[in-house]
Amino acid sequence: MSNSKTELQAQAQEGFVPATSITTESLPATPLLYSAYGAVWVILILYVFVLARRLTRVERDLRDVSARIAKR
Amino acid sequence: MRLATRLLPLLLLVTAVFFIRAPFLIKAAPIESTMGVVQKIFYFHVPAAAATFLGATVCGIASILFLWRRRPMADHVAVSAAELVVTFGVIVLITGPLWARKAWGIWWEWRDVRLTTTFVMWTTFAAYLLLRRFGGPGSNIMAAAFGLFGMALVPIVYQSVSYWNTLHPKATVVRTLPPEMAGPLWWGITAFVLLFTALMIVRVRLEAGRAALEDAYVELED
Repeated sequence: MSNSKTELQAQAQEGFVPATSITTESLPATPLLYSAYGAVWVILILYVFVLARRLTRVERDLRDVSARIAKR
Repeated sequence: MRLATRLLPLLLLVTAVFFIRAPFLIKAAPIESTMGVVQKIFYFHVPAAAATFLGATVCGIASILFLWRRRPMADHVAVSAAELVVTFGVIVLITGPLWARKAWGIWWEWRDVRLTTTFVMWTTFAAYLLLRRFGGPGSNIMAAAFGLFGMALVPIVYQSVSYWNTLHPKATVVRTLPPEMAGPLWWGITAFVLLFTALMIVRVRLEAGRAALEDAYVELED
């Protein structure tokens, strides 16, 4: 058991081979895959949203200060 | 910078097309024989790592230019790239353990050099940002040294799987992929590099805006 597992682990490190048939898996992989995929989208959308807010605020402040300088 | 800002809408459109198509390609990719369906995390874990490496390299080169010429634009590029390294690095550090849980039966292994060096690289750039945020005047020079150190870690992280015995798949995996697996991977890498470029343009614009705002406040005070 441990030998075959070691061989499989070594094989997984050297190269990926498409499966010919779907085997039964002990730990469900789908929730892990969806969690990873969801995390990618959440992090990217959150970062884009925060970045857009920061940029809007800085550009608005810059316009205000420039207008105050121009008024003097 | 003006040309980059003008090209930004087109770049965002192309990036969106790549990101919308990616899940369909990943779904169509074959299931890996030893790891099963969880191996599909590979199609966005590796592209996020590629964007992280790209960011670290850009930050390092910009840091060298800043230390050499003291051009503000080089500093803007360096801090923007460091922030993107931390952002894409978070994706790598979250998706990796989710893959490892199924493939290795554990979330994390500190004795694995690839995992540990990746974490050290991420903390280096997190430290860069903290230094910029709380370091006070002159922190940009010290942060540039962090940027250089972070860039020097890129080849170490990349080659760690070749020099040390690790659980992590080797870098040669990418070269040996069958076409039906290589296609979605390269599509994903292109999508992440395009997104990195678009975010860099916006982030540099933010940094330039901040610098202009500081100058404007000084002018107002005088």
